[in-house]
Amino acid sequence: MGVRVRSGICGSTSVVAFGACILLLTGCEREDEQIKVYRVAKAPLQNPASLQTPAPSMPPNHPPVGGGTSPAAAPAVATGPSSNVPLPPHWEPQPLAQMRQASFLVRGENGTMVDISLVTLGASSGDVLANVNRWRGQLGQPAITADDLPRVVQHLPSELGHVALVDIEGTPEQGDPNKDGRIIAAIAPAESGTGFFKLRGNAALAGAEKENFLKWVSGFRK
Amino acid sequence: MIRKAFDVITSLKLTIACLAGAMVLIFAGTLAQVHLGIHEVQQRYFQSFFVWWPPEGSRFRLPVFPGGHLIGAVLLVNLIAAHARRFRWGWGKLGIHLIHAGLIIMLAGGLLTDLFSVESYLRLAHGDTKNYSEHARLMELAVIDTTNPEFDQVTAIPEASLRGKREIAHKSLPFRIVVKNFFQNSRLQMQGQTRTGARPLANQGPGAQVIVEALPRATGIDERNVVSAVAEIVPIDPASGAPQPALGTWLVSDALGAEQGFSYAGRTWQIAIRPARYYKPYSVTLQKFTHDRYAGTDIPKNFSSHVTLIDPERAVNRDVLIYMNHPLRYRGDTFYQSGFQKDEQATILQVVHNPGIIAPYIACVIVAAGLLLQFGYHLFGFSRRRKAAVA
Repeated sequence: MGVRVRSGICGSTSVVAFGACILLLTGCEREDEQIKVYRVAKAPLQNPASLQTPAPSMPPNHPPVGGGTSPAAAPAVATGPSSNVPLPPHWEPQPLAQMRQASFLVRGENGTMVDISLVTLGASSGDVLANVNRWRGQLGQPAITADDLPRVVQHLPSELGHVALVDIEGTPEQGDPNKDGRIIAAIAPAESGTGFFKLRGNAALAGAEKENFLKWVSGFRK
Repeated sequence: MIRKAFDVITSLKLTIACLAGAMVLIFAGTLAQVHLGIHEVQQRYFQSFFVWWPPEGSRFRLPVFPGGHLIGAVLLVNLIAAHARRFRWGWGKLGIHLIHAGLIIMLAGGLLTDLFSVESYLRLAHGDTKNYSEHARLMELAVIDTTNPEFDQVTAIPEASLRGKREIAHKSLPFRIVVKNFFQNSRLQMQGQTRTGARPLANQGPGAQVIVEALPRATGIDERNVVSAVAEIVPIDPASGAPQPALGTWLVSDALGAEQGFSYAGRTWQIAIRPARYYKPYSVTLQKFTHDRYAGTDIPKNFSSHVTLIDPERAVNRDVLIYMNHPLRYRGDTFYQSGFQKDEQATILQVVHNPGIIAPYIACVIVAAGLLLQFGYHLFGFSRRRKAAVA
């Protein structure tokens, strides 16, 4: 014969309380519905150690996949699509932020710095006037019209084809002159996407790096 | 009063009502997928407390039907309560108890998974190293303080907070973000490329030359919304807390693809809409992606990702091969080979973080054990009675 081990008001109270807890739990706000605050180190992520160890293998009875051996260790930060020109040694590769295919930082004296990047966007994003005005806006400069464009834009000889080059100076309101004051940018339109090469930072340091930057841009191929 | 509530909770009629409600909900949700798409339906019908009407547009919303969370939770409570009320110990009932326990664990696990699991994706090109994965659909407004040379401080505002033209304030931000417009799905066009006469909604950054066109919500499984918003930055006086003149209005959009910068109070900031990110205490590097086909055909044979896992905290640095049905499991995350870029230069791994992953396995084992016991007990009883009858 069975023994009744739980009954009465105590049992019912605890079950009602448990039910209330379950219902409250369903009202919890999910973590991805809350504002999150966190810090992300700017230092590049740790490189994988050189891959002396063999590539991991499939189980013994698994069909083979691929061929060849483990590739050489890849750097944690990519140096971007291939430019024929070697990178200057003082260009420090940076972690690739969203859309950046190449990212470098050049540090000068007294805390000055310039940021160099390559971003490729859709082919329709290559409107030169709109981009020039966007960069002018970033440096607190007034927008120009299409009539002014020939005066502002130069053409850079490159194997990428028709590359538009602009050099804009100005200091944005509340900007840090050590990190801002000049943008040198090149727009290389192509059917597959428009390449935006950009150097932005301290005006004097940007001027000193202009030659290296132009060589780097010129070294790209389609 | 409590006893009356207990009677209702333990009622078998409530079980039937919940099961019938679940059937209606599933039927209605299936029909709604035509207009809303599977992900939106999941959120509105199954991952909610109530199904609301009207779903959008109106300021007033009415709950018209219990949602999946409510039905599941009531069913769970009903199952536990009914079992507790009718519980009678005895070896003959052990199988029944185990089956009920398994069902309870299954339901509780489902609720846990629904509330706390996160599915995201990690896209890695050859040589890429990342320590975060990204949600496939959910976006966030990232406001990044880039002033410190050592680190960026990120305030990530979820997409849900941007809806409804809200004003967003947070202690990590010295300004408020006023969401002037929010577009669940949109198309961006340069001002000169459209003849609609529409004007840009933003006055700062590239958005000052861009027209935003609202599009219907993407409903296909493979379609993706292009989320855009127009945000005004309103500084707050630290002493009085009073709003100051706005710094400007920025267009932020998943289609812009890059952060926009501005300066305020001697600090530099970046702002962007991007897929919601989930940072990890470890990083993954893609060494090689391999896609094999059967000889002479385009029929896939295998695809696999050879990655290096680095965890500085636990001094882990090892190579792993991820391929079909052989995921990488590490620190509560499971990495599945999900897809790859068309040119095979990048792999796409699905990253699942599910604290309730073990619940269905435990539940199945317990239910199976309960069924075996229950049937075994009756079988032996039947066999014994038969032997006695024959004797």
